[in-house]
Amino acid sequence: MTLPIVTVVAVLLVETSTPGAGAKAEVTLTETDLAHSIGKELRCPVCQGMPIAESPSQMAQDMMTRVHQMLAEGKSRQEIFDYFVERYGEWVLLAPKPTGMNLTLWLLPAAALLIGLLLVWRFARKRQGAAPVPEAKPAAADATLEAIRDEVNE
Amino acid sequence: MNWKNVTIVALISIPLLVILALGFGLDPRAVPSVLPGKAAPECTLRAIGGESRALSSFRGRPVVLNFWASWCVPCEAEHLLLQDAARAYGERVQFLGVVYQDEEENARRYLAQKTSTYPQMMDPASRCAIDYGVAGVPETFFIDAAGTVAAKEVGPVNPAGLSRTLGQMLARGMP
Amino acid sequence: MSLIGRGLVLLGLFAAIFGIVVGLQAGARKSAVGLAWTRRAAYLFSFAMIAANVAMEVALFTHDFSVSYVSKVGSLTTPHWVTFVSLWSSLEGSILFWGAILGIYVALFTAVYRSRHHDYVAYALAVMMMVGAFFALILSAPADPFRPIFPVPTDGPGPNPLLQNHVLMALHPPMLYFGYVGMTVPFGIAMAAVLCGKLSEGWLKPLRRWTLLPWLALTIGIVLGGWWAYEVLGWGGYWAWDPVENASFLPWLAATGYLHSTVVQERRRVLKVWTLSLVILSFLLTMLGTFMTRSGVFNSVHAFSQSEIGPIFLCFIGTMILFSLGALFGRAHLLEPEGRFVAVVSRESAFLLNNLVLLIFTFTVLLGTVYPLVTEALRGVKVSVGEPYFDQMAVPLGLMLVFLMGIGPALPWGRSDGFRVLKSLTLPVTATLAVGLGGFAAGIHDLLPLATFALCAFTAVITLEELGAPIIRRVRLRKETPVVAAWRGLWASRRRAGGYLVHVAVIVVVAAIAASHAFKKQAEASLAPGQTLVLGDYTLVFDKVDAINDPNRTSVVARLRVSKNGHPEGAMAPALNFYNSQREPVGTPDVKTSALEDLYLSLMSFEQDGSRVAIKAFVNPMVAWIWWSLPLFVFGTLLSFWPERRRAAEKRTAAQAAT
Repeated sequence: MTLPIVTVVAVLLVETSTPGAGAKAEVTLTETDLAHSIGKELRCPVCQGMPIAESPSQMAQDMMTRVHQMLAEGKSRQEIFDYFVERYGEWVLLAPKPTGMNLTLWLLPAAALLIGLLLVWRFARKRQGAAPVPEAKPAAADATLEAIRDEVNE
Repeated sequence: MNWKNVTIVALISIPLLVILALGFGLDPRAVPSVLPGKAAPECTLRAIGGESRALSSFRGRPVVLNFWASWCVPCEAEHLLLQDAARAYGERVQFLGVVYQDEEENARRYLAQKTSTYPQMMDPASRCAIDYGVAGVPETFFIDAAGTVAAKEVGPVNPAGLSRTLGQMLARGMP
Repeated sequence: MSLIGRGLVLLGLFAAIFGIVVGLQAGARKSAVGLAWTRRAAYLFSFAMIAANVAMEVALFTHDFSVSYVSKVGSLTTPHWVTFVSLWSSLEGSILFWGAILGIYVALFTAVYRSRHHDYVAYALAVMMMVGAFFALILSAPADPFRPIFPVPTDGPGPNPLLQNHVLMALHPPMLYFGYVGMTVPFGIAMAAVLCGKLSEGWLKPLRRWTLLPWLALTIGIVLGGWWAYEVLGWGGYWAWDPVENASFLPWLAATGYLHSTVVQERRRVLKVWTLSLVILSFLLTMLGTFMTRSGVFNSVHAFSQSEIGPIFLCFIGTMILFSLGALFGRAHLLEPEGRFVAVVSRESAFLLNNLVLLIFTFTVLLGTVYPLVTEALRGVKVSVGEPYFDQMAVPLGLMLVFLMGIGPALPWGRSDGFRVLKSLTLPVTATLAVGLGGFAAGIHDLLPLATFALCAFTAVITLEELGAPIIRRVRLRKETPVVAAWRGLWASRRRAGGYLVHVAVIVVVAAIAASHAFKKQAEASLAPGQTLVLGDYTLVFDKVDAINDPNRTSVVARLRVSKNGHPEGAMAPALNFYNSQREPVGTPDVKTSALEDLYLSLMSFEQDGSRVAIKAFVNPMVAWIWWSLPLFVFGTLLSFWPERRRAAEKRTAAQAAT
């Protein structure tokens, strides 16, 4: 049940926040925005974990210039990523490629969520007592009772 | 039930500790280069105060491509070493300096104080640095006569490594 | 000064080791004499640590460059406040400062429980002093800040320019440290419960309240860290999922989980082991955070220091994991749950799910942070896991949390009456739809921000209803004035009300983050004097460049005039600062804040003769609300923290005994 949710949300994310991903979106974007969205996913080599689109360093700005040039030459988003990966290695991509071992980044949390949900369900069922409940406080059925208790405490 | 929990926690914490321990063996700032073994990227450089020239026009013998800057402290010692090496190898090896992220004027002044025996080039808009995946200076690329990147050195080159790498390249160059 | 400092550190180390030995003995034998000696050791440790910090400050202010740390970060030219904060600007000093904070916490704890909870206190102090001994040990050799150096330099380089550049640096690290270090106290409390093999009602309260304090400090530290990044780094953002930021976020998530599970534990008497585990996890994550910041394994904007203490740290973390797990699992059977759940669909279940999501969130952030190390170790390939990945994961998890934060309070404890629940959800659901449709009509067509705002509305309405209901009742039934009713209403159920106020603050932050992400606008231009840059409603005219010389730096300031829709809005002056010790400049962006949006200008580069500047301009909607939420966080947490009056507490205990 959760996996579809995660997938759906992930798809939404791709569609909304990384506009270049879909060919359709690419058309509607101005070149500057596209360059920025590409630059957001490329790591600035001289900085510390910053994307080149956001780093003030000269090297990052030169790399952004290169991105602009390549866009002007009609290169696609993927071609630009490939160009940088060829030179700097996978390291330059801030979003790791969803292939091979990298899939664990998505699958492990999803699996953990599923298993967790199962455990919570079992726990709640198992502990659901038919026996009279020894409670720390009288179980207030609604907020009114609780409020009254607050007044009493005061 | 307890043992189940122990296993779960152990499964999470032990790999984590092992990974962090392994992390010590690694330098966080060192990014392994992907270039060695590949064809040397082509780019156009401009000699300081001079003409533009394609990198490939230097080919025909091994090329030592050294990225440096006047503001880079370790480059200073390396500069002397490279000058000596360039003199020693003479015609057999082409040494080439590329100024990285620096003003032409600064580079000129720097070189005027130190003398340089091989061509020193400017790299407009860092085109060449990006093509070679430079992440800082100094970085040195060894390109063999056929135009393949043979090796990359991050940080100042050391004399032993320099002569070993060049020796191998020259040996391979001789049929 | 070297001698005094080193002596004090050694004294601290000695006191801590003595405290551990005596404390564990006294705990096991329930010895009153032992306990008294443990307390003395604790006070001595606190004194030594605090005094060592005073010694360092004296050395810094007297420019005693014979002390290694002063020669490393001191400088004759820095202003006084920079000299003062130099204490935590680099590795050795920050660990020393760490020791002082632990000293403060330990002394407070000892003083507060001087006459209560004798069973636990000895153990708790012993465990806290294990951490203390570790830090004193690091300070005494591998990261000794008091090492004398010879020949004595005449001046030093001053602290890292990034730290000198903004006053927030005087606040953000100490807050974060108060959070990190403070987690040692609940860890000690939890471990004391584990070691005693019992967890009484009485001991749960200190656990919760001593977690709330560091939790609050951590919250403030994280938010101030974002603010600092926003004001200094110049890229228009505040959070980059950088390893060090993650390191502060991890214990926050775990501690938040604990603060919720303890509610279930107190009410239903289940989840005892779970609750204690979360406290222990929070502590271990703070240690991991310190390790990440200080070891140099991770590459980060905030990792100012690299050092050799990494391996020692790792050994310590390993030991603490083994110790706490060993104790927990050796004694868990003594802490068996007594209580029961009443229904599957209930507030308790919402709390459980909240814990689950928070834990998965923690796990995901941890995974993303250490993953590059994994690939490098296993495949020899270096990869980066950055903002795109974390955003992708954090958004769904965050939205789930917002939803649970709303639905939880809407569900009653125990068995619920479906019809009543549905009825109580009418208003929130209406608000959700209204915001969703209204937003769509207003032109927000992206699903994510729309969903976020709608969910925030849902949760906000429920939370405000919960907060408002008792107040409205007071006004109606008791004819109190609204102000009086509001105060008395909040005060009467301060623990719950405080929690809800913090929820409101979280909603504000979530909405502000969503808005600032979705509606950010930016432009970049190279301008000659007189030229303009247009961004949205704003027009910027570049006038000229000024250079300002200070003893420790030179600032290049670009002067711009701003107008919005044709109305002049004054001048702005983004700057780049060149420090004597570093080539890359540090920026000072200029930010003009209004209730709805910030105009953010960053100077990227300039021509020496002032003929051109490159300016980056951002319009960041609602960003300031992230920092403005802080007072609410503080007020809510303190309200929740404030103890019940003794009499009320006794009454409540009596009432419980009666049922």
